Amino acid sequence: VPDYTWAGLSNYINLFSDPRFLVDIRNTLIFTGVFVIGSILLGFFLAVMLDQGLKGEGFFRSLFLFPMAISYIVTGVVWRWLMNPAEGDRLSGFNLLFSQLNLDFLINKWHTTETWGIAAIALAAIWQMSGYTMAIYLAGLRSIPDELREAARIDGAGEFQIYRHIILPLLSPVTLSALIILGHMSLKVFDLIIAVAGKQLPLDVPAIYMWQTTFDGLFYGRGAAIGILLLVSVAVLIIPYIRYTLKTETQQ
Amino acid sequence: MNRLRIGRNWLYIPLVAMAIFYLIPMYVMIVTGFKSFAEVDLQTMWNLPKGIHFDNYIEAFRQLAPSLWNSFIMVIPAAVISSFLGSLNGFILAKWKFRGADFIFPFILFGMFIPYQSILIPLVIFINNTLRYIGMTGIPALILAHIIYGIPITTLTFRNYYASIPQELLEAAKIDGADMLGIYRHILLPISSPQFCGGADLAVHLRLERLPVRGGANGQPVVAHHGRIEQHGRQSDHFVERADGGFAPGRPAHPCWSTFSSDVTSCAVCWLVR
Repeated sequence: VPDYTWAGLSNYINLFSDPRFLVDIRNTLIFTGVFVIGSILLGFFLAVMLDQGLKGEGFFRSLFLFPMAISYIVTGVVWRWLMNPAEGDRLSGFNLLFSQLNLDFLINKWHTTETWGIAAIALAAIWQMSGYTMAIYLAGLRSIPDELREAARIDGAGEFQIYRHIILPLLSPVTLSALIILGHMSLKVFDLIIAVAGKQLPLDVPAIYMWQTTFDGLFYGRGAAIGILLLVSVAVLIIPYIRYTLKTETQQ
Repeated sequence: MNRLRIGRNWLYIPLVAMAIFYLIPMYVMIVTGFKSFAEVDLQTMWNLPKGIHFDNYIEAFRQLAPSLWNSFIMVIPAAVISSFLGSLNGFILAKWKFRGADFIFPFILFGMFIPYQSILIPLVIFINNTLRYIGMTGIPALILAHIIYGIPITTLTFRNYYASIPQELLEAAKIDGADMLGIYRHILLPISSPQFCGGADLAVHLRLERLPVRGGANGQPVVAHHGRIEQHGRQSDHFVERADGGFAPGRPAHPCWSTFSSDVTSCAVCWLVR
């Protein structure tokens, strides 16, 4: 018989004293940090490279963009093979490649590393999403008029200074949208982790906890509390962003 | 255009290095897909196949055909209806601003970002109780859910597209006697086909990739996160188990197929839009 008594905030309070949920928060923070910073740095670097007007730009652009077309599940399955942590003569994936290339010091335990294992999964996510940041940065770079660069050059700025003082500040709206979009994706991450590692406690995130506690454990109250916390954390990111975007849009 | 002013050819070194990074997972997947069953082994995963074998694709298709068919009959109506509703919304929000439009639009936008986890429980209860009560079960119920959750993104793309269409075009139509629906039907709808392809592509893509809800056995909607998680999870487990321990609990099928299918849809749509 369902228990309909009013629970107040007890579901939320219990969550924050639940060791599993604290691990989830830590994992989400690590994942978000590695994934967002990695994708933005890599995407910006690739965009600057592609903006130099090299031959074959179109080829490289589509190549960097294509992982986005693949679903997280497929990415997860391939990276699960690549990041196989087996040791000794059962070495495989990247570790096997490293040992064949005599780069043995690079061999590591990937997602089975203690505490930081989730960063290995963020690596797969970077592989998938950095092309997207590249695309929006490239669009941003292309919209900066050449006159601005010329003017800075006449004032005696070096190329590095131009990027530091002209290009980067002009691209800050792009960086903001990249931050927001990648950030909210990483708060919700579920399928990638499931596909790489299954439901393992060291790699637990709120979305997986919510799934297990609700549909495997039938603790609907706790599941709903996690769902709402996810919604709130996404809303904290997204609502100011939507307001900002709409405001700048009406100003134009 | 050479903005960094260093030898241009040096720039190819990082580009090619990054290209290799992006290609490695794809290489592994393609190479493994063409290997025969006996050849698949984690120790030799970097080697090229000893011949081109299509066994895995045939097997994958055989096993996935029912799921794929379900995906298609669910995804196509959902994408079409969702795009159509999105184009209506976009039209109104871009060209027929009503009082409160600026208030409603942010809410629709926010719908794009809502985590599925936070709507999952009410959605399950709604599908299992309310919709079943009115006799809507299985795939139609899922189509309804996908239509609704597709509306924000299609609304946004159509609104931005319609906002770029000059107001004069609409004024001219108005002078010629077209009303609101007439303008939509005769002016905007005919020039929306690229947007429909794009919207449908996006919708199909999202649906194919992450189906948070799926129809269970005998037409009862149960929620399981991902039809394909189960499929792939299980199959990749076979693969790993065999490769690691040398026993074969089942034939390995290959996730290539679904990459392939979603890529084919994307390519086809991109080509149509071109």
